[in-house]
Amino acid sequence: MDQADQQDVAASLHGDGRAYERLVRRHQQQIAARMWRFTRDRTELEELVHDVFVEAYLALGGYKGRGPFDHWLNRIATRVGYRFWKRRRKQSAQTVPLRDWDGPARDDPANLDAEQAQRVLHALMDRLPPRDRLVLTLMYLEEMPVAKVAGQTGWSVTMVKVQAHRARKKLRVLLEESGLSELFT
Amino acid sequence: MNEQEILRRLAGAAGGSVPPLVDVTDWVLRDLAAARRRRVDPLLGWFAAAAAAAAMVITSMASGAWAQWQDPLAELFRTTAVIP
Repeated sequence: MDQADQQDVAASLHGDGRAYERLVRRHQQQIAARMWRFTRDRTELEELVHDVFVEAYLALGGYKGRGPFDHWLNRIATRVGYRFWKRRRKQSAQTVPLRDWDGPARDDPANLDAEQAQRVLHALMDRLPPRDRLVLTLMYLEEMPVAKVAGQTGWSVTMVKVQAHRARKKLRVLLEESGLSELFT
Repeated sequence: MNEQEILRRLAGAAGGSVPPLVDVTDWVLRDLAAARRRRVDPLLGWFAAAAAAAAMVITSMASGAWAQWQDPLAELFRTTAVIP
């Protein structure tokens, strides 16, 4: 795939629209999976994936081919997602209610199915500032090492560690306030 | 259980949540084509204006207007040349 990506990037830079079409088709589902961390709304998801590929095309000249194309694309996706969170937080202070999980799952977190767990996770993270949310998402949900988080965000390694420490502290308070930490003991 | 473990456990449980299938290919290509047109159209406008101006000059020269405009000057030089 790497070889095909490199060829298609080169062809796209020479104005071959079909080559960029192939790149979009090849990577859009993987980018959708990444952006699914940033929104739970299908329309927003499509907009985010679209924005990633438009931004990637405009920045394509900056891709030097030193690493895999999808790593470079994922960095753009992280930026687009982070901006989306910041914009949304500015527009509206309201958050998804944390207690929108119901029935038996409310009493026993072990019974959560994937959809419920995803909803609780999203509601929980939605209450954190975008920077905290980003670092926790990359470190604990995407399970990236600190160095990779630094690469994705453009922050220094020290900055990532400090940010993660602060974010965990806020998350702890949030879990205690919502009563979720008791349910998980 | 600390906050990291809770987060990991939730993420583990949510692991099976599959994102919906998306296909934004046409939308992306359409927007990129429109952006290219927006960049190219002003250039085409300048080129068209320059070509129209050049065409007007050539037409006026060919139709004798250029010569008429030149004549008074030529006459003036002829007049000054014969003054002793």
